[in-house]
Amino acid sequence: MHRRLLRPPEQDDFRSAVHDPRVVARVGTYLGAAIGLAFLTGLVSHLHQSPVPWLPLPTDPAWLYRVTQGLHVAAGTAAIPLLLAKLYAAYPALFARPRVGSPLRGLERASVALLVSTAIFQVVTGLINTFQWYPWSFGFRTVHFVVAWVLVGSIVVHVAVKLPTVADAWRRPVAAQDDDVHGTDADGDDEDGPTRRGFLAGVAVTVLGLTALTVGQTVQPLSGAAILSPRQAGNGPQGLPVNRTAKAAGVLPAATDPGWTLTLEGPGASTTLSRAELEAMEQTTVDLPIACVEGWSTLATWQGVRVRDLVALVGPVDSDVRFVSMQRGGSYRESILPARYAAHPDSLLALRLGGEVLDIDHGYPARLVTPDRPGVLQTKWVDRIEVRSPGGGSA
Amino acid sequence: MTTAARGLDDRRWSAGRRVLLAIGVALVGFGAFLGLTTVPTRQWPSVLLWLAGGVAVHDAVLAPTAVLLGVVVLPRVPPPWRPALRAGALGAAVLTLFAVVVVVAAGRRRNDSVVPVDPATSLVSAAAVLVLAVMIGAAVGTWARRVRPAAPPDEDLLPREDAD
Repeated sequence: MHRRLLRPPEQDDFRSAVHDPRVVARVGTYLGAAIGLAFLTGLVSHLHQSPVPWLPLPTDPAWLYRVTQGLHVAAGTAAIPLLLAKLYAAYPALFARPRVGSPLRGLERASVALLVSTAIFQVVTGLINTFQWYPWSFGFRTVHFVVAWVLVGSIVVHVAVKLPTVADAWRRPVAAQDDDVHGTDADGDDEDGPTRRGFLAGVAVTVLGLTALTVGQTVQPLSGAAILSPRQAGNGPQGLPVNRTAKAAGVLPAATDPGWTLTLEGPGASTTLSRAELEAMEQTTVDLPIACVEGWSTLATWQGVRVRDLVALVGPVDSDVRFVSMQRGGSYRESILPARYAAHPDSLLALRLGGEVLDIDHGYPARLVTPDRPGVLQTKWVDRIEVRSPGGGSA
Repeated sequence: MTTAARGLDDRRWSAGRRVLLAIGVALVGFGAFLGLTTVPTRQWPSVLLWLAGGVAVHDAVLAPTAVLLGVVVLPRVPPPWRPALRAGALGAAVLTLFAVVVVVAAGRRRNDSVVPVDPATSLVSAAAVLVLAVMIGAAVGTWARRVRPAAPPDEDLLPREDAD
């Protein structure tokens, strides 16, 4: 044993049936599916934050963003054990000979290096980011988006290279005896079938267990079990988690000023409304989730004035609307609400939450709440609403 | 993978695989282009550090630990327990990562709705769930072996020739 540990291993030194292509291909397929799901749902959020005119996002159903971002983080979380299992199962292949060989093999090796480093990067920094810890000096959102493309591309390259092996591996039952072509252990030990099956079952149980202990940040009935997630659905002031508090945003004096008025500016007119005047307008009650790109979400009952009623006071209702917060700085100090959302009957300037006056940390005196939008764009502590001219120009 | 399987890969370069390869290269290229044009140069060292850091931790810590467990521990436990112990090691690795993040995040939390459960409670509970799951897995493995036809004498994972 000692002699063997003192030299770099060869692929054939790894005798366990776990390293069989049938296991590697299956774990790899599940990992690819998880990363693919995280990629697509991540694109949805990216399009919300950086809209493109040729791909308008739907305003209905209201829960769509909640579901896509819950899936994004759940898939990314599931990818952590899947990635470790894939690395474990495929590890001996790193010692395969020739080390480089043909240009194709060189490309394969380079794509695997890229795949492994970008995959670890995405799931680990993604996890840390959801816990609001940022131990790096780069813009997370931009880099997460960039690395996602490299990761998905390197997976596609890897699949292209491995496709015959993967197809062949999937055709053969996991528990069947090794044959002479693919077996890492040609003597066909009777333990090999149970070892392969047992490994896959163990990976499945780990993924399901981790999901059970985290998904309660999105799935309200499992909230109490979410002991490994940064949030629990329904846990926070007025039953709703908080991302940024009034204190952290530096808006406490302005938000509690009894003389606060909302400024409404439009192409044709401008006006101001006090909170009492807003409360005197027609009030609408809607059930809408606050859903964060970090995966957590909670359904809540909101009451307030329809955005389109406010827009109608100063401009045409088919306009994009800019919501400006009392915050002095920060990336999400303001948001642009596309006209489709502004005209939606469920889009509110909310004054109350769950039958109570809006908590200061949820945006008192008034906040935006709309269907199917990222939480960071549901601007809190709204100070000014600017109705833009139809066609996109500012008021 | 054996040499024969590698030959298989190299031989069947169908049109579909070529297209897939081209798409993959294009996606990587698009990502690289995005990175070069949208990530400020001064942020690159941090990005590269994290890209390399994950691989370094895998190669220097995770992989040697897994190899050591495979050489030292697994051959010395009854075969029916091995899948459960492998999964337990996987779960322990995941839980360790979460433990670091949960503890640090709890120390830095800016409001009570972030990491709402006390980390000691949550981590001890999660560890208990893990241990329980491994024990159930070992029991299931043992039971499955009893109902299977008797296996031949155990040629375990520690090859005999190691003793030479």
